[in-house]
Amino acid sequence: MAQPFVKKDDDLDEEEEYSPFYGIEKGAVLQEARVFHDPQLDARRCSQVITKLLYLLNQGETFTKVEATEVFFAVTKLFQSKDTVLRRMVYLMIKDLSPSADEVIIVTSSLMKDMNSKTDMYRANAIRVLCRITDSTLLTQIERYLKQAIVDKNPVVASAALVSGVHLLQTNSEIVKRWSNEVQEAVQSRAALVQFHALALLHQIRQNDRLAVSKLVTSLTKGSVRSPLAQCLLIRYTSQVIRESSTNTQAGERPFFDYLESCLRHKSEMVVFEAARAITELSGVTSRELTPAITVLQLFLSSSKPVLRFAAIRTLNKIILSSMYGFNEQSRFAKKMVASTHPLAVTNCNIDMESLISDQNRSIATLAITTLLKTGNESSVDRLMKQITNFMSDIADEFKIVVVEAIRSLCLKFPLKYRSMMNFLSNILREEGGFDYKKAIVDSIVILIRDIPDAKEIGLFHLCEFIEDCEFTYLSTQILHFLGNEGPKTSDPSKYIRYIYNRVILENATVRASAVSTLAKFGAMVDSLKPRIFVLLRRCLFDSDDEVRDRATLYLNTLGTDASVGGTDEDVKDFLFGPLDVPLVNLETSLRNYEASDIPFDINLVPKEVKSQPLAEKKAPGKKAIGLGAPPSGPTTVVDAYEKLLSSISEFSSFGKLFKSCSPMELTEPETEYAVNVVKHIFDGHVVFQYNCTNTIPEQLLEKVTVFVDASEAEEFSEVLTKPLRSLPYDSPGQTFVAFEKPEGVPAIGKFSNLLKFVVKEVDPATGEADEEGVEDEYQLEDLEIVAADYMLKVGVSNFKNAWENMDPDNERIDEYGLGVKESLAETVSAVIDIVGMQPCEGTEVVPNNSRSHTCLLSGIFIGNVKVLVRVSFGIDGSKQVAMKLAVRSEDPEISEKIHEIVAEGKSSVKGKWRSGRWIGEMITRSKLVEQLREYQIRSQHKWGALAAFSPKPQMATRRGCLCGSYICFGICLAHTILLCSTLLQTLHDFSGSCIPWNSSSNMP
Amino acid sequence: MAAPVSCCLLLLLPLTSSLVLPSSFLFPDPRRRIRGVEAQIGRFLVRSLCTSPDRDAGVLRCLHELCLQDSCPSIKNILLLDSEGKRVAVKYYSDDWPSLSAKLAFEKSVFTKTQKTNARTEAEIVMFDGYIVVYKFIQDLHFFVTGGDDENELILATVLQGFFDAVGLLLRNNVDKRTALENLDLILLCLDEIIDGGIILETEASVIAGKVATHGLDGAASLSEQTISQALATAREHLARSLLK
Repeated sequence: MAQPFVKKDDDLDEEEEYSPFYGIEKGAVLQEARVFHDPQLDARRCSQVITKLLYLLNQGETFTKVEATEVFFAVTKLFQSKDTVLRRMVYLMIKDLSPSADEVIIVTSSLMKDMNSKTDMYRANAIRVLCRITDSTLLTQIERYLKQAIVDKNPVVASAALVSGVHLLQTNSEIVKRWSNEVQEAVQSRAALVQFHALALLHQIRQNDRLAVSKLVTSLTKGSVRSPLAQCLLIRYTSQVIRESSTNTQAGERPFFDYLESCLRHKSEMVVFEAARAITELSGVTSRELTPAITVLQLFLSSSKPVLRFAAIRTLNKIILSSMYGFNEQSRFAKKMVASTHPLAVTNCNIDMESLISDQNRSIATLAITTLLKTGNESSVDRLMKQITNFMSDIADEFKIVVVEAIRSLCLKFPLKYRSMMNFLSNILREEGGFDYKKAIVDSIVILIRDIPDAKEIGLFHLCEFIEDCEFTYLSTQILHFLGNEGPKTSDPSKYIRYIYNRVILENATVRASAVSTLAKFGAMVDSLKPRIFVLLRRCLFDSDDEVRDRATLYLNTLGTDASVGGTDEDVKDFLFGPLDVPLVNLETSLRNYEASDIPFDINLVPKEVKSQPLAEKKAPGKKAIGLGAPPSGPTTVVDAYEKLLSSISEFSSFGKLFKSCSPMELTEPETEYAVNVVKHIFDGHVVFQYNCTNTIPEQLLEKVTVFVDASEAEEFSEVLTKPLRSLPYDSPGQTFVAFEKPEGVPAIGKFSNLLKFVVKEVDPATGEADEEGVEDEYQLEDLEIVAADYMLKVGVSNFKNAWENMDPDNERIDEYGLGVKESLAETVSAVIDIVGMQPCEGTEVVPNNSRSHTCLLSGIFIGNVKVLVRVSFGIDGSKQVAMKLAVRSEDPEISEKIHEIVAEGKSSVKGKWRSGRWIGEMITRSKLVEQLREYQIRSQHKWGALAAFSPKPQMATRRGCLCGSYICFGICLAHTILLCSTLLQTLHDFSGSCIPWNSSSNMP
Repeated sequence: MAAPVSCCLLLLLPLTSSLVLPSSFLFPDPRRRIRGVEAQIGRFLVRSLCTSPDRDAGVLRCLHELCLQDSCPSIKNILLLDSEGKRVAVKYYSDDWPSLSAKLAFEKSVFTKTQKTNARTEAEIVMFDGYIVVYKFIQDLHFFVTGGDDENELILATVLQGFFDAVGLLLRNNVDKRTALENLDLILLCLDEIIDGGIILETEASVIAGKVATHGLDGAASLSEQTISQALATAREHLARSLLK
């Protein structure tokens, strides 16, 4: 690869391709390098040889270690020559060879001599070379000269020293930091570039010191910085200072903003652009601040220079992208929270951007398209579509997908323009493309058909055309399914039949099967077509594939009986069109568990609750240590197992169908003597607590285990029965149950305190035999709460928008909440989801990084089988104040109100969560306390054997003796109480400040 | 940034050998991320100390870039290719391309992406793989300047223009591949005078050409006292001499 020229010249005209380096070879050049050793140096010849060596290096040739050393030593000889050209080449050569530390010593003295020479060029270059190859020990020797060079009156020398300083700072920061006085002086230099380099170095020296940087910026923004490059630097530092200060102080005028704005009027384009970019990147910039910057960028858009156009359009695109995050719909709320006025500001540039679509430079055109699709207005859509059509053919698939998605959202924004967009989509659908691209197009058409009624016929027609020649089975089946739902409702359903039956004739089995289903749907919905459909379906009975035949038979029978019985028309339609309201995973497990018997499988018995799998998995490791009562073999089977378990207990059979089982909640801290967790089972009129207990002490056997529940803080509940656990040996979990009665269908809430009661029997670990006599004992468990979320079943919906619109808008309740300062949006979203206990839909529980607003869609079933849909919009501002708008729709307006109550009361449940967070803090404090006590013990020479009581795993045996221990216990209890009180006070304080529902305009800045 | 953390970082920097992770992997947008960087630096430093040395280097390199990012405009490379995409003179200033093959691959993709465009009157620009490349063609020579995707495009364009014009001056407007190769020493010196280790030294074409050409002149006449015409005269002289060889 080193000799590209040789190869090339072989087959090209030699005359034309003459190169001074024709036929060059490393070995020959290294031979030539011997001239460096001549006593009488021929300067010109030497520099020619060096050029050749540099050429070889530049072409990617590498020298072996030996060769490099040899060349290096030879080159050092050349310092004898007085020739300046040669000297310059020697410098280059040394830099390119990058000699090792022991070799450097050879040239150091020569270079140091050059550094002090009278020729400025020598000095500047010698400094750069020496700093490149030097190490820290050498650096201390030359430090003095470097300091002088920084303030040298020759700008080239000063620049060389400063730039070297910037490089050295990364390896020898301590030394370079000592130069700051000199650098400070250089900043005031009259030479433009010296100022630039000095500023860069000074900032790097001080970048750890915010105050110093701020001072630097303050002093320089007032004075005049000459070089445009230095101005650019200063703008960067200024915006850095602004960013850092804005995080501390929210209110008031932005510091230095005037400076940035004044830079927009600088004569150098470089500075103007840097300033405009800095302004657009400021966090929480207002549209008033933004306007001048956008105006400048707009001017750049029509520049004759591609670089300027590119820079401007890229910055505008960034503004759009950053403000497009989250929701830009309707709400005044959104405007309040996020400065969503930015797109408006950019819209002014639309005309300029449109002319860029046909820009020679593809990068510019691409950026222009994406920006325009996001900002475009109704009148420009047609023109835009025409231009994009020309453009689509020469861009890559992944970018086409971006365009398709942008067009979809544009079309939803301007429904009247569906015709041109639909045409566009169908055109690109016919062109070549990969699966993802086609899928994006099909999805877009489907969404448009759903949302724009006028577009239905034309869209379905395009889809029919597409499946005539579609190579992707997945897309064909999707389209057929969609066609079956939408086709029969059109004015002339018969015209689709041909396309569908073509599939039965031409396609593979999967597509054929779904075509049969689609035909059946047409038959069920359109009576006039029914006889003809029957003919077609009967033909399908002779299909080679089982599934196709089965389906045909099934549909022929259902549709046929419908004609004879008459009354079950609705049932048939429900069967064909009704959604499967059972999660597929649950259905699968139920089918697996189903044992063939006389009782037919009943789909209504399949649990409807969606278990969030990742959550369960995340919790699993924590539980493992304790050994759970219920076998946690899988998230879906857990529900099943609960149901089986409860139905096996005769006392509970009268309670009716289990509504919901909550996930287990720990009532003990990990690694205590007894591990207990509780599962709340909610019935219509009852609540059952299932306590899963594990005994972790090998020397003990527990008998007659019960949980004494004090329901004094839960007035609506009354205890009906307790089912004790007969015996609980070591490490084999068992369950005890307590059942409560509550008013039917009412989401009663309350708090329960628990006390574990049992009889302890000592066990001989060697023989495993238990003592005859036992001692009664009890063990305090943590409290347990029934919250409103427990009455909410997590049930997802497949199409939230449809479901939302099908709900009666009269039952909608909207309110806004200020949530105070939160760490992040994601954390808040998950907290709110936890509070309402509903299922997030369409992946909206995931908050994109850095987004300032988010909309979360939730669905669930409230006790009494009331479907509830919730749409929560969140926004966070610069000071991390979070606000939330909650819109609830449900089948019952009272339930909608109820959800709002839950959220408002959510304070208390969040408080609970916080408290549990604090518990960890408290535990840490306790371990610290032990530490302190231990220290005290050592100091005061007391022999307190009882400290074992505080070790992570206290032994029961030691609990009996030791009076001293109990003293300490008392001390700790006291400390605990104080801590608990203070944390509670703090929590209360936090909440009184943060969760006051929030009147539209006042509180938020 | 917290001083101790940063010091720690700077002490560790000499250990970096080559770039393993692309910086964008850890810091998609350094300019935005720098706000909360203290904690990140701390965390990464700790992590980099206990993982494999390869990764250490990558992480530290990222941090290094991060520190530089907010301060100084930096150039990643300058390329001078011929009409077939082969090297005439190239200079790399960053470790983004650790091996020769990576460099050649980059040159190839730059060349193919820009080949069809017309960048003869005005400098053109292209963005790919997270780099911004500004370029300009003359005769059978292609000039490229590459910067990170966060760089001010106009600064890159200024550097390109400086290089382009300086070469024009040095080669007496006779800019083609053959003359460039014949005067490769001038081109290399010119590159050396424009950028030092990624930092812009000078962007004014006449000054660059002057500096390169001064070397033909003996004696101690300082550059600041030299006029441009003098500089050009020496450049011319140098050129004549090299043509005579």
